Amino acid sequence: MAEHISSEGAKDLLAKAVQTMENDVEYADALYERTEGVSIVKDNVEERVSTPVATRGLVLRVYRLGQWREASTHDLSPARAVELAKKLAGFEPLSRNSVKLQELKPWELDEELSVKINPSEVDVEEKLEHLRGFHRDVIGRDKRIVNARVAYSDFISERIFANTEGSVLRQVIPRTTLFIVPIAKEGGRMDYDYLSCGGTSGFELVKDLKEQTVKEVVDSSISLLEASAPPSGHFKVILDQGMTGTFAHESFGHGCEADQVVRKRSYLLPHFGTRIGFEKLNICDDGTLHGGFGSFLFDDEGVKSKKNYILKNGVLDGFLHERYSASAMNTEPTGNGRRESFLRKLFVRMTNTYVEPGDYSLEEMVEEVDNGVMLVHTTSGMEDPLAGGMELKCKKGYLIEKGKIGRVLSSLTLTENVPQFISSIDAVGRREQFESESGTCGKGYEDFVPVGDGGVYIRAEAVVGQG
Amino acid sequence: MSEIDSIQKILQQENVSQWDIYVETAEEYEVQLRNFDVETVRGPITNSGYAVRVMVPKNKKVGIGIGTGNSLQPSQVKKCLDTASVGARITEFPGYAIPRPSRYPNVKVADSKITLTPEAVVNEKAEELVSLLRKSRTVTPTFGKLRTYNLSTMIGNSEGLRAEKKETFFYVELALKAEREGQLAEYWPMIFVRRLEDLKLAEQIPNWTKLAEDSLRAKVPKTMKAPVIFAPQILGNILPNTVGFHCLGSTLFRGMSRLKKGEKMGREELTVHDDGVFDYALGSSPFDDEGTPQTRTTLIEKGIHKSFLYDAMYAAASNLDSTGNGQKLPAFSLAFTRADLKYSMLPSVQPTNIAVEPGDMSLEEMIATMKEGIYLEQLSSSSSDSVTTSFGSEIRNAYLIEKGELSTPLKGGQINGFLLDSQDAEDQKAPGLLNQISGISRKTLIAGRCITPYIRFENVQIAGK
Repeated sequence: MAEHISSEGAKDLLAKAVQTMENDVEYADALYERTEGVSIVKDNVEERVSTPVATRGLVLRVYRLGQWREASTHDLSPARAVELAKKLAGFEPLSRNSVKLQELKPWELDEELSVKINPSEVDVEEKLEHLRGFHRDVIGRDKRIVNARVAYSDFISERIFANTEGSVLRQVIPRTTLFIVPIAKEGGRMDYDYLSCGGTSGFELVKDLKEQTVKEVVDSSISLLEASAPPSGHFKVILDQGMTGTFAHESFGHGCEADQVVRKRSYLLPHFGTRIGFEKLNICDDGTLHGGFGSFLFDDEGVKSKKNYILKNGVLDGFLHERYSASAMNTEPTGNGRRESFLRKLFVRMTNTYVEPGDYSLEEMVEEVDNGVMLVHTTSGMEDPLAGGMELKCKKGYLIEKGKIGRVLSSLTLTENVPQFISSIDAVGRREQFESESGTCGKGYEDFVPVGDGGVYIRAEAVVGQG
Repeated sequence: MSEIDSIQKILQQENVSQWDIYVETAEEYEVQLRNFDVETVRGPITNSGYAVRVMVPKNKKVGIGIGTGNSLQPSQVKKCLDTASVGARITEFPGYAIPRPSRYPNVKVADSKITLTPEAVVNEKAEELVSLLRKSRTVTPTFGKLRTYNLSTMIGNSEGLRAEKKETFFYVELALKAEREGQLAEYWPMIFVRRLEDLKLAEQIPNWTKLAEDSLRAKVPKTMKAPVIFAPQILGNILPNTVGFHCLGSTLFRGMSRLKKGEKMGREELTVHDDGVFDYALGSSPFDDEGTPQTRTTLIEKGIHKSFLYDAMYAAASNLDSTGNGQKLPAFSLAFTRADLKYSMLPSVQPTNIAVEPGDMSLEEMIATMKEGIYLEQLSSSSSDSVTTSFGSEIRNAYLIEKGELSTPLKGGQINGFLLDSQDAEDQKAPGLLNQISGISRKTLIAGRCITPYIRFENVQIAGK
């Protein structure tokens, strides 16, 4: 089991570890992580108050001749940290390459991201009472709502970083999420829609939620009781902000992660610097987005977060980097080196990825479609970084017939080849439509980190089917 | 059991009468590859934590709270206990029966080689993988990841139950790239096993290589309805979240299950168990995460629904016994990659291993008896909707079947359907896949939380060009 240490204690521990490693390797760093918070779930049967994934530990990392060596431990005693540091410092690489890690200027930071209502200052009973209120509200709105699941979580992520270049950094990032799922049932049919909100925010996320927003998700769940099955085939499609964001993230963003480029696993590599889409299409990844679920002050190798364009005016403008990929490709790191926790490896990861606004109203987009499908309320997406395939799934959709929104559809899947999808985008929605949603992103099949994604409505062409 | 004893002392000091304690320690070693080179060597990676649950009876109900921690310092255990006590005070649940000491089945869940030499094992397997892949002249790895897990778990409760186990896992994920005249294609396998002999790298790599190569000439299928053979790894993702979900006592208790005991839910050929004691399957264990013995429960027999699954909570609420299905990991297969964080999760009712009984055909016979159809090897996400049992996913690696033989490779487009009959209006109602089974293979494989054969379904919707 671990010793309990303070933030100052953790800084001292990192200093000792880095000092132990610094003379024997090209580069070394150390990261302390503490994640804690509360998670509350309420439905018709259960109330559960628990701790979301709670971790506290240390990861040490050294670099030599193109290879990383790491060790992680929950044991926060100085003796264990020094023991691991010594073991790492003496490592002999199993393979070698000529990539020398670029030096970065050291910097210092100690900052806690402030929020309007600090969740740790709100009693857990008060949090549960709010959830009970949402639950009562949802259940009481319509007899066809047979259950409602309300899930809340807040957690803080404290990360302290030190390296052999002299950087010493500390950040505390609070994140809060709220999820409401009204389950509607009539006759033998059961279906649901959902409301999801989250960000680097506090309990105001719950307190400021409007009654109208809750009513809308209840109405939407009920509307799905009469939904038709989606059509199957190739259609003109309109994606809402969440689906647009999932496209920007899963389908496009993962291909822009430079670790995939270095290992020659990106379908986007041959397209760098060329126009691949609509000239009004801009996609960026922005770790500084105010309130974004994927926002932070520095990444897990101490690089300051920033806004990076990956597609600018339809041209593939840049890749997202951690320090190794930036060194290998002779460019600057972009603040995208992230770990799920001290137990997992660092990779190039996105932060908040979105499509910037254009000039179309939703009405204009719909009017110009003769036979199409609108897809809303994203549920998941999956990347295909080498072959450029895409899969986006959503809970709800609408048929578009002769320029008008028609029948409601339940559970849809959209697939397409990404370059073909991008080249088919012909309309990008206006600024007032902009929304960013919260989610988690895996690298391959695991390594989940908090991210935001969003944007505006876009119109394109794709294969649609049941989801 | 020293950790449990230390925590129990503090519980006694605080006069907590009903409780359970879950303690977990994990050690991992990992190698990550960039192409043929070692990119990162990781290890030891250690984590340890505990969870304390406190139960407080409230008339006919019970309040349950949980606190988790990583430090055994008395002040930290006390903090964790305070969190659990607050949770127990403010929440209510229809029932909970604290498991009593039991005899546990003898289930194999550990590989001694991984237990004894985990670092050497991961290095050896990484070398073996690279060596096997170097022999292939047609594909290259873009990345690879190999990891050993050694987990120790202890459970104790206020009824005097003490249970302990050691288990192992081995995780491999890699992407194999095929390239020809500027065309790129890949096969991206993921294997999660408990013992090394189930890895079978030498056997698997030629198959994976062929799948990657064939994908270079893959076409998008046309929109159609056709018979489709699903490989075990696809069923391993879809079945627990759909059929498994509707077989949970918690789903039934909420009035959300589509199933009724004794009613037909699939073809007569279909018999399915929840098998928590199948040696070396991922969801197997002598006891569940509440200390109840795991067992084998028949869910579907010859197409008829037989029983539901319970943890200690929903069993008590339903006046039944737990079936040993109180699990801290969610039902999806990949949840096992987070087995090192189980201590911080709450137990809920989940399937252990969904085991589909084998049929009487070989895979080759299933293909040979099809005029036209599709063999499906890998989907993009294979995700599905628990409530409606609807699923849809992009085809990653598949083949068209023509005149009893595999022909054109397929990639792109989608496969769609429902596992149980759709709930649309009568005129639009579509039969679920379980009612459209036309073949089950003799061979079964452990795939995620399933032990399943290849299954052929009729009239599956394909969306393509």
